[in-house]
Amino acid sequence: MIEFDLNSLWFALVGVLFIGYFFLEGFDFGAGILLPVVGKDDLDRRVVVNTLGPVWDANEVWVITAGGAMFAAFPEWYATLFSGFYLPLFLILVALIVRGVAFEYRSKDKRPEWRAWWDRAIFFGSALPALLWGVAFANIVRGVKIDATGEYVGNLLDLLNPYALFGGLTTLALFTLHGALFLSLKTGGDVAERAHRVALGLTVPAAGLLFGFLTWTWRNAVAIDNDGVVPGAIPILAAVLLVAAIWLVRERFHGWGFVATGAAIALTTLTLFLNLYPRVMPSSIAPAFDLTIYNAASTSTTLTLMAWVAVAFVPIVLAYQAWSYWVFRKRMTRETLIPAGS
Amino acid sequence: MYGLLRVEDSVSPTVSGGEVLLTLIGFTVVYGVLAAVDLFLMRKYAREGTTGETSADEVGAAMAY
Repeated sequence: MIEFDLNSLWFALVGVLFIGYFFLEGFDFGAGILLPVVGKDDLDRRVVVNTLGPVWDANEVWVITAGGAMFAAFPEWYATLFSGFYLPLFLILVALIVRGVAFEYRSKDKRPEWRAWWDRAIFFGSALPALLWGVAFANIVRGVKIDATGEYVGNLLDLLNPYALFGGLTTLALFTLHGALFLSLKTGGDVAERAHRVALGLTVPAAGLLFGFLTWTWRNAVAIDNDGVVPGAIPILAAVLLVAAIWLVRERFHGWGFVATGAAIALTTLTLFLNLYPRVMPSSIAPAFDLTIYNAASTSTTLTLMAWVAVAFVPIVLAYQAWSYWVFRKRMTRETLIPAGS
Repeated sequence: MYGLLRVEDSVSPTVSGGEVLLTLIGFTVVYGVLAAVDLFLMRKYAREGTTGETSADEVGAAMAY
């Protein structure tokens, strides 16, 4: 049962921020992972990096905002998550640092070995978070060892359980497919054709993994007799959209394919958040130790004040981000980078 | 907050000293390498100076990568 109160509003906002993050950075992780696959020479790889150049950092701001919203609205959630998942989140952070620098530095020197090192940084810096975000979220939804004081008392190995690793593989495949479709849309020539072929090969495994992950999530929820408030239509639609993507890619409807993978990512994230609600971090030790949107929240004064700040600024941020995508809407090709006659 | 929330009160109870040390070393290494790369680039650009000409692949901010 969904309550309409401030705590639920802030939980929804954190959910929306993660949905936006996985939709947007999902494709730039995917494109980074595919850099060595679709980029056969340096110019090809510059085509790929230039499709991401103007947008990747704004995409990443979504996760920073999500973390900030968690910190401000649900400090107990933030504390338990960031202390409990300390080393995995450290790895994600290092990957994101190295990857961000790689985009900016790879063209600053012409030596092939210089660029090869940054290309490796882009590949691993994209693949590692794409995998680890799935592992992290699967663990949050599954429940981790949280004691009566609300602290995580498990260890690193507890986080590497089969369900969480399956979740990681699912996000890795899903983001890579999403990125392949993004590159099919945003590039031209051989790069776009290679991206199309990658997408063609990935649709079936990605659909299978997502179907398996959502089924497993549902089975876990049934097993502990708590599946939050997930209307069955949402995860089913997510899986159906990826099945539709198989056909859409085959027929070369890359735009609709991109919409399908993006919507599947959004609906999967929504499923996980609805599965949690009204909890933010369930305890696998005892339901009484669950962190919820009530016992992990800030005071209502804080939540009210921040709600007004969000109402004022979120539309502005959405507007300028949409505008930046409009400005950079054209396809990137080898010819764009080396104009004819030069 | 002075006297109210002391450093010892705000230490994460579940993160060990070893983990903190590991990440401290990790961040130091990452930022150390990046600082060295930065110095290399600054030196390179300072030596090259300005030629007054912009090559074709430097035209336009969108194609700067």
